[in-house]
Amino acid sequence: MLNVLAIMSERQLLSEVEHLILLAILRLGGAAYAVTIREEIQATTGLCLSRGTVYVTLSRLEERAYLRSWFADPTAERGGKAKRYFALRPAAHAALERSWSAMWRMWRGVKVASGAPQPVPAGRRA
Amino acid sequence: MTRQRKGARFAAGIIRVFVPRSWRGPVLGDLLEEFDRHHLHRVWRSAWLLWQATAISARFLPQQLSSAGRAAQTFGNVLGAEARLAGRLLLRRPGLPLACIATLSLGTGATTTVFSWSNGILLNPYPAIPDSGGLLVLASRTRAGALDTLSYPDFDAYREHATALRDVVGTGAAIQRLVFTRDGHAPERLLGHAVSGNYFDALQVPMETGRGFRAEEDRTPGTHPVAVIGHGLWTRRFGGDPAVVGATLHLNSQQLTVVGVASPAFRGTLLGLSVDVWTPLMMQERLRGVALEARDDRWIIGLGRVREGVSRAAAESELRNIGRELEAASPIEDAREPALIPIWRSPWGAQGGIGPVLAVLAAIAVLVLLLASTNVATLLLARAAERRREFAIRMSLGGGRERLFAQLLAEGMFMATGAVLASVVVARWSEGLLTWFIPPTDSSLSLDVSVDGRVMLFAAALALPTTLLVSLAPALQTIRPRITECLREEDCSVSPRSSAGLRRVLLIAQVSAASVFLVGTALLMRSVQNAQSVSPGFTQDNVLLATYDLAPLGGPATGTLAHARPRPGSRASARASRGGGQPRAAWFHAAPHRTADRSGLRSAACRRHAGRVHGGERRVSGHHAHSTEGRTRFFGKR
Repeated sequence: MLNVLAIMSERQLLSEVEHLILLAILRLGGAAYAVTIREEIQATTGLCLSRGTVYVTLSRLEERAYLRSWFADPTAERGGKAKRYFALRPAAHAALERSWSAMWRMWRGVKVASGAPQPVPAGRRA
Repeated sequence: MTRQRKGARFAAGIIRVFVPRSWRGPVLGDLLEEFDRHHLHRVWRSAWLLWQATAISARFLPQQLSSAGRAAQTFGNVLGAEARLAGRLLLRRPGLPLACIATLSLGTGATTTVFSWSNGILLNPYPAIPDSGGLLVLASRTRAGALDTLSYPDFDAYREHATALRDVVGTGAAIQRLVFTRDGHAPERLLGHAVSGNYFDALQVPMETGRGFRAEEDRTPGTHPVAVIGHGLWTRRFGGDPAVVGATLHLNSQQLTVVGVASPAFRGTLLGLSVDVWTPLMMQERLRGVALEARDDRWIIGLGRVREGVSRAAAESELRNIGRELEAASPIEDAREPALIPIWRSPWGAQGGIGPVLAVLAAIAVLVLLLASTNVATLLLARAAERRREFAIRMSLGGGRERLFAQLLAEGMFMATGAVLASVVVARWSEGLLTWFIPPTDSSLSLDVSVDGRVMLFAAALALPTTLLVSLAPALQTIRPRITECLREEDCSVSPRSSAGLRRVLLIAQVSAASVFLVGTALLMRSVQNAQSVSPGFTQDNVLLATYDLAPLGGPATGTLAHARPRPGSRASARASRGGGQPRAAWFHAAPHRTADRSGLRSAACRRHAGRVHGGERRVSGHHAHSTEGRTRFFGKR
């Protein structure tokens, strides 16, 4: 099942929320769990995703084999419940690259009315 | 958990139901972590927690539903495979399942039978009449609160002036015995029913041929001698000839023209009786000598529906106002208030007597069902102990609990299907047994009780869960076998504690139900003994009873002996003779001696019921049989 989803995901681009969440996990390093992921996105972009959206997207990304998760030790301030941390699998890196590359190709030669600078992929800045 | 986190319990409950298992802990933990950061009043924070739990659950819901659908599909495939296995096992050892089905069918069959009777009598009494459930009975109430019939003037006033009611029709409260004579044939007693001119149209009675009455045929007394005959009489006496419409019918020495034949599905609105002939209310003066104008001669009940948007209480209130105006215009001594009651509460018809009988029968059927269920559950619990090794082997070979559950479910479904079918068969067989539970009456009962879709649905709704419960509950004990002990051929039949508890509960239920039955039976037998020992005030040895009904003659009595009914087994059999031309009073004086002479009786006495007795007071004299009309009874001594 996981393999089928992985093969299917190779042909799919990430959605906007998936993209944001994967990037947030990358930025957070080893401290990425639902609360910090949501806060990171809000702090960086100003977007306030609902908690439900974050959980469902994390669940979907894990099903597609983009993420791996593990549980930390339970703590008293969390009512004895453990945190569920996330990290990217290699497939997620490939998906991010694929999505960004597609976006970059679409952006090339386009100038929006506001005059915002044209985005450049990280790997091609040099 | 601090006091501030009391709302967390509810949130945890919501999350537990809707969020996938692997996410429950982290989601609740995250919410509690953020919960402590809010510096709000604890009530608001609890509300926030509940709101978040609900919102997150709503996001997970589609995912949960689709995974539940996938799980159901998988389980369906497993169930199909296990059903084949269960079928093979049942065929190999059919004894116990068949015994269980037979035992359960006793309970579910008895309950379904009582329901089918209730359905035919109380829930759907007139299947041929559209929307018969909305029909109400218009009657009167005495000052003591007892229900009584209406006089014709009262009924006419209510029908004319009540705006809250529609489709109001009038009918005689009791069946009438009419003497039907034909040239060259012996006189025959028919069951007649007096109805208003709009009866067939307002109730939308289906007609086999011809028409119902017209309104103008029921306006002036005695001017329209018309009749509608029942399908039974039409086929029995007229060979189903359509030319009967327009033919003349001799009833109680009166000539009536047949205008139509009712459909076979319609037997009349006096529940339990199959009417042979309907005559207009306005013909009753000629046919039965009934006084139409007297306000204190009560013999009619109305049937009608409340108009849309009007409550029954409002309709009754309007009727009371009309009654008060009527009373002011023509006062009588024992005035009555109008009453509007549902058909099933009406004492006119079989439902009046059968309702309490059905309630008792329903209680008995439920007890039988309880006893049968506990019996089967005990049997299956014993069988479950035998099967522990079988399940232990399957589990050790990798069979999951869901597969074992599917097998047990399939076995239960087989038994449940058998129980449903058997219940319907029992209900179908026992359709006609209802009359056994009803005391004998002068008229033979004709109850239209049949197994229809509603009865089948009831049988399924009762038998399926009951059988599944009694078959699954004990068997589920075996899904948790101590595999190692069972496989080592140690004593596998030793029940776990939960199984012993279940057995104890079943035993208590069985003994309780059996005790109730025993005590009930003893009380019933004692009541029967008491009833038999009640003294009627005279020696009952060798006393025979015969009934003569002169009422159908109507008008001035001519003294025809219409009916005689001795007790069963009597050698003095019923004899019908003619007394031609004698006045009724003289006939009464002469009849006992003549009866004694002709029947070889030692002595004979005659008792005549005082006055006309109508429906609602059917038991007219203690130990005597029912009577719906003025009747004469003889006591003969051999």
